[in-house]
Amino acid sequence: MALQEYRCPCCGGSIEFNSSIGKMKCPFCDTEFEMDALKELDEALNKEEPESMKWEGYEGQSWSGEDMNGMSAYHCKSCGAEIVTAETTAASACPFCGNPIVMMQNFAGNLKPDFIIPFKLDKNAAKEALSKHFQGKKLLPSAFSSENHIDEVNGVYVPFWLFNSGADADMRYKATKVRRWSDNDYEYKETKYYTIVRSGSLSFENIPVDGSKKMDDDLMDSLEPFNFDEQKEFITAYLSGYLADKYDVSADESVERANLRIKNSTAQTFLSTVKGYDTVQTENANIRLRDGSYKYVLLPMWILNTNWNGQKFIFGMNGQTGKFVGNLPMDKGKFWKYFFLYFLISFAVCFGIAYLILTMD
Amino acid sequence: MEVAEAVVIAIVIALIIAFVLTSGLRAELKSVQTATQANIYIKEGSFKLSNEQDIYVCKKVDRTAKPKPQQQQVQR
Repeated sequence: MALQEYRCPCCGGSIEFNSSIGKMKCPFCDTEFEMDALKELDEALNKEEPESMKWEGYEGQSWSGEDMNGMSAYHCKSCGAEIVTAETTAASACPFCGNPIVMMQNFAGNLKPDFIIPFKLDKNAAKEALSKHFQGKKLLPSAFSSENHIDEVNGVYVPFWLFNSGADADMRYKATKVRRWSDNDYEYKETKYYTIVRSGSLSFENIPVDGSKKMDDDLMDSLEPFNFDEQKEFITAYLSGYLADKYDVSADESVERANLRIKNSTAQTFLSTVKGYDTVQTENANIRLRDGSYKYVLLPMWILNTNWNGQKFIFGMNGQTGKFVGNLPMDKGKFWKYFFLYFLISFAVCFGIAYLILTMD
Repeated sequence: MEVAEAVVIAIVIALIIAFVLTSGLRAELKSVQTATQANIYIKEGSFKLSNEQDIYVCKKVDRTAKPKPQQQQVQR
C-alpha cells in the first residue's frame, strides 16, 4: 500500500506528525493541522479513480446497391475531395477549393450516414446573409465589399461525427478564505485553507466534430449549434441539388476533439458548484466517460468562396439556422485613421479634465 | 507645469482608449473560433452531485507592523 504524503497548503512542504502536540505539523512554516480534517481528506483522496476517456466501437451502416444507384461521385484532383450528389445534380467545381471536379467511374462508398439534417435555407438566403455580414464593419476594406464577387456558393452536406457520452468526475480543489483586520500596531491577514471535494456525473448529447479534412475545423465549430430534433434518417433523395462530402477523418481521429470539449465543460460545471471562497485552484480532476457512442451524420452548410488580393476567404452559413461566419480582411489605413481619430477625441477630453483637476488643487 | 502634467496624463489615457476602441473594431472582423467547450450539449437535468465536501484544513495568520508616525521635532 502506498504511503499518502500530505503537503502543507500554506507552503507546499511535506507535513509530519508532531508527537509533543499530538497533531500533524508543517516543519517549514509551523502550521498545525487537525487530525479529523486530515482523516476526512484521506478518505476523499482514496475514493478518487484514475482518469479514463474511452469510447466504444461503432459499426455503422454500409451503402446498399439501391442507395448507390441514384448517386454520382466526383473527385477533385486539386484538393483530393471526393464529393457525392444525387444523379440528377450536376457538379462542375469543387466546393472547397473552387477547382474543376471530374466524375468518377465507380462510387466507392464509405459508411452510409445514419442521419441527415435537411437544408432549410436556400442560396439566396446565403447571399443575403453575406451582405449583412459586411454591414457595420468599420475596418473592412471598401473595395472588398463593393468589388467583391463570390466565386462559388455551394450547398454542401458536411460529414460530422456526433458523440454522446456520460461523464463521471471526481474533482478536488484547494480554496482559501481571507479575512483582514488591524489594531493600533499591526495589520492582520488570516488565510483559511480548505480542500473541496466534488463527485458526480452528467451527460452530453450530440457533440459534433466534423469528419472532413477539407473543411476548416474552426469554421465548422463556429457554425454550431444545430437543432438535432430535426434530424432525419438518411435517404439519398435529400442530396438532390446539393453536394455531399464523404468523411475522410475517422471517428477515432475525431474523438480527441470531443474528449477535450467534454473534459473542459465537465471541469467548468463542477467548478461552478464551489462558491463562497476568495481563491479556488483545481488540484486534481478525474473524468471518466461511460456509455460513449457516436453516429455519422450529414449537416447542411452553405459554403461561399472568394479570392481577394491573392488571399482566399471562405464563409459558411448553417443551412438550418442561418448562422453566418467568416473572417474578413482589415484595411490598415482605416485602422490607423480610426486610431488617431479616437486618440484625438480622447486626448481633448482627457486634457480638459486633467487640467481642471490639477489647477483646482 | 500643470499644462505639461495634464498633457502627459491625457496622452497616456487617450492612447489606452484609442487602443481599446480600435481593438474592438478589429475583433468585429473575426467570427471564426475554435470551440473548446460543450456546455450547450449537456443533457438537461443530467448533472448530479454524489459527494460534496468542503474540508477545513488549516489557517495561517500573517501580521505586519503598521508604520509609526514620525515624531515631530521640537525646536528650542
